[in-house]
Amino acid sequence: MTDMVERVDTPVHLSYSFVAGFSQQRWLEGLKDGKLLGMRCPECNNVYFPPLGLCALDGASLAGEVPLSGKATVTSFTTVNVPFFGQQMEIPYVLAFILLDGADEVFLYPLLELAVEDVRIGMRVEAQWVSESQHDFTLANIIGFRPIDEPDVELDEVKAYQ
Amino acid sequence: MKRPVAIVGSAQLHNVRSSPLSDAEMLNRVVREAAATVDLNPQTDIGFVCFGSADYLTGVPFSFVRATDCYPAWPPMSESHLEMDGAFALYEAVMRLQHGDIDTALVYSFGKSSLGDLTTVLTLQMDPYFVAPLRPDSISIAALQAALFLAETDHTEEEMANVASANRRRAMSNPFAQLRWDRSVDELLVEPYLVQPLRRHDCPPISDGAAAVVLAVGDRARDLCERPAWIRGIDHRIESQHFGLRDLAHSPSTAAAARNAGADKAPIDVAEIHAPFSHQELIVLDALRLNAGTDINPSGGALAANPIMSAGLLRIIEAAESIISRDADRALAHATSGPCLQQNLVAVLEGD
Repeated sequence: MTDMVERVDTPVHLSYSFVAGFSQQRWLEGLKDGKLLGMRCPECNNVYFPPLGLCALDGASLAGEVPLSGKATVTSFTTVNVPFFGQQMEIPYVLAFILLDGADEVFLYPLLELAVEDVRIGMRVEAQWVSESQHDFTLANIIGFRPIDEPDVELDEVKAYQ
Repeated sequence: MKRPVAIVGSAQLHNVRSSPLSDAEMLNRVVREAAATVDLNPQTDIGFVCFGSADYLTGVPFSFVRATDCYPAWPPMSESHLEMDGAFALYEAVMRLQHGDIDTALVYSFGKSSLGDLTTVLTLQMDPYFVAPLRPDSISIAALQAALFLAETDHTEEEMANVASANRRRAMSNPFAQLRWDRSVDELLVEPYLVQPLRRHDCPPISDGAAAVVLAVGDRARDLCERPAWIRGIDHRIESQHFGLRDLAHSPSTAAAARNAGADKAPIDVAEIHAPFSHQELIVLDALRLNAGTDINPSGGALAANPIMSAGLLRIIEAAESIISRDADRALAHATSGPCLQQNLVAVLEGD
């Protein structure tokens, strides 16, 4: 019996342009300038970061930029021990839900400069930026979030964002 | 149909070559506008939402998930997505309304055809092992069909030019159309071939657009709209993916869908045909055998604006609006999907 055919290669290469849309455009410009810009929903007042243009809860167009300091609270976290293709960080490392001060939605980001056993829900952190000369239109300007010397936030205060 | 379903409201964006809006921003506009035409609140008054789009067009995996931001998802919504034209999403919504537990549905779709090299992107809908690796671009595939069509039937390049000319002329009175002009058949026929036997005017424009439709059942439809466009019949049929097994010069799937939708039960006043290439309109019309006097593509059809994944839903919207506005009493909408009219949907709409 001949060998079974186990593989057929049919490579595909496609190039696309990207259209940010109105609010993502402002957000990306902000990142290039070293600023974190949230956007507020005019109906429910939630502040989104990253702002994708619309309030995911009520469908209203976001309006009104809200500059955010980069200080934040960890609302949940997990430790990554599994290696995978394309991994950027050395394992083990911590991925956390980050609630920026002044924002109402968390986003997932790695924590830096700490031992995994020291991470706590409610701990205070701040954004660690790449050097200014490397700023581009990307959230990758922020390497991760590192702990700051501020007292933990009570669990009750972040419960809604977990 | 056990429960009569009608189109009661709709909205569409002005079709453009390249939209500065994000996917969700485009959809949000049509969703809000369609709901507003019938005074419904998307958050509380819609029983089911069905959405058609294709991630290959935007080049972003799960772009349809991101695009659902266009719709308020609180309280939690009942939603379904098809990697297909919105016309097929409308079919699913009509079936969903037959369950009897809800009275309204909203269907939307967007096509950002401008982001990639469209003619190459469309090759990826074909057999991934033996056909797609050859990268036959969408215009060449359509040209192969057109050559067969001209050889196997009595139709001519003049008729194709006439289709191109008529659609772009009709588009001059469609505020949402992208490609509009008034040029005679004689002028068009002296143009060089793009891919023989297709000339540039035989091919559709590349369009960014979005559309949304509100559906309602029975008395609810009558409450929401003075003259609902009742969907009296709707069906879709698909042919083989193998070009060699198909009769490319004819469209038996269109004929079957039209028969099952009851198209021939009474004369049709307005027919909206989703034919991206001029010869395809002739193929579809041959299959439909419409009565003389039917007004074909008052909107200008897909030759005037072709937002992939929305162009079929737009045909249903245009047919429905002709009923709602009392321009027509009985209208037919046709939508297609896949290369060379592989899959075809026919809906028959009537006023009270």
